[in-house]
Amino acid sequence: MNPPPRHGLDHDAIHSERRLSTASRSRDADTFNEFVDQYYAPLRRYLLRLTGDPELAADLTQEAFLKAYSRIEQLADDEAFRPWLYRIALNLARMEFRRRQRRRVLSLEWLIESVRGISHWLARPDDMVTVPTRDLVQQVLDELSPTLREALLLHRLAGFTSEEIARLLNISPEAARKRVTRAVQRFQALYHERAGAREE
Amino acid sequence: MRECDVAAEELLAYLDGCLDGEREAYVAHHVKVCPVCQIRQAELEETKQLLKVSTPLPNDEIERSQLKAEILRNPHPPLPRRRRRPLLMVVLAVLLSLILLWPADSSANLQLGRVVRGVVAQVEKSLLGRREPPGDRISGVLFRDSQAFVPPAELPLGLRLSDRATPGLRRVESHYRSESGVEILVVQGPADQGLALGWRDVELVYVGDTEVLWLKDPRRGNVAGMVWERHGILFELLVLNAPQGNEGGLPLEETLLIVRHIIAAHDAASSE
Ligand SMILES: [Zn+2]
Repeated sequence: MNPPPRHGLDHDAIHSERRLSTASRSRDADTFNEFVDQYYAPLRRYLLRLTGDPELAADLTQEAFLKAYSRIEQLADDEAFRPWLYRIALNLARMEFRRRQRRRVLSLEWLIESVRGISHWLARPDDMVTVPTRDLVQQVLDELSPTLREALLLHRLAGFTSEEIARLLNISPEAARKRVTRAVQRFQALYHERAGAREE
Repeated sequence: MRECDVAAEELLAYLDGCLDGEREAYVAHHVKVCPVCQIRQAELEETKQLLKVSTPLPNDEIERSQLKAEILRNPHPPLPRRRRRPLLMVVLAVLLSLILLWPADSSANLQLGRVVRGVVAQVEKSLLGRREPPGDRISGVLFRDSQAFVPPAELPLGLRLSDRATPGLRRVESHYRSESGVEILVVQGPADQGLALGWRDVELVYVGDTEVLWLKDPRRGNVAGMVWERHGILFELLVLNAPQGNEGGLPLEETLLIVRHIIAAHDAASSE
């Protein structure tokens, strides 16, 4: 029998994480920077898909690392760094979402565009087509609820197991698996529906 | 052929390596013969490929080395200041709905009303090609240094300052939390830069002689935000979180306590 594929960290990686986090507790900036080398790009990629905004993803990545660094003492011995880092990042992203919900912030560019849109309405060429600025994967992700999007990306993009996700989100493993499963079903349905519509 | 007796969640647990020995062996065998599970497995794999292929790892060398340098520089780093797009920060988003809703007969006497109208005039001027907001006076409102005052570290309802940022030369954001889970953000900026509001359901209330715009939460009597102008500074109080399932809204009376407290501190600081 073939062993099932595993998405989590292998044992060597876990050991090296333990070593790193222990060293970091003494505020060894060099050692912490090994974490940065190891996890910066994957975390930024995760946040890009979670937020759909490259600049925000970059900001949140930096913020998450600095926050983790400033709070490294809070990391329990038996807890690996990576899920902890993702939890910090996720909380930052959630807070940002909430802020944006409350403050319907519109950019000056948007304002200028909309005013131009009105004043140049008649001069607007007929053949102007609105091109979607977001790729299909992002459009589908945007349609998922935040809860499902988080779980889907943690599992299928960041490579956490359902048990790791459960600890990270503070839910039961069953609940984590339910979320991932539902998210995959919804993603698949929406993606194939949209992809089919594009081809027609 | 037998029906599938492995739920999608259990298949996932198996693929994650989270099943115990006996059940794992059963599912491993089952998956080989069950078309339903094979489709599910293919969907999981396809989803992963779609996400990974469409989201390559970023070229992060510059950002990463900046961050590492920052960490080496600061053994005890301050919480980061978020980088912002300058234009985006010029938040000139008073929606027309707000203006149109403003009662025409009373607006003549309202300081806040003049600010709101003034902001729109500013936007129009910017759009006509003038570079910077002209002057420091709109309809008799004098704009002062918006960072000259910051709200106190402690506010009513047990709120304590948890973070303060100055994202831009003329803005201050103060973030407060309480033990009971209330979370608010107080944003202040010069009154000529406008508000970040798109609220339809608003009402004017008074704290002393200060007009305060109440941005209503969908739950009756609750507050989503408060906006007021005082001594040339425009304040926005935004309720980020509230306990007891209030879905983010705070009761009006409690929010007014906070506003009153900030106004009193501001008045005291301005008279010094
Ligand atoms: Zn099956």
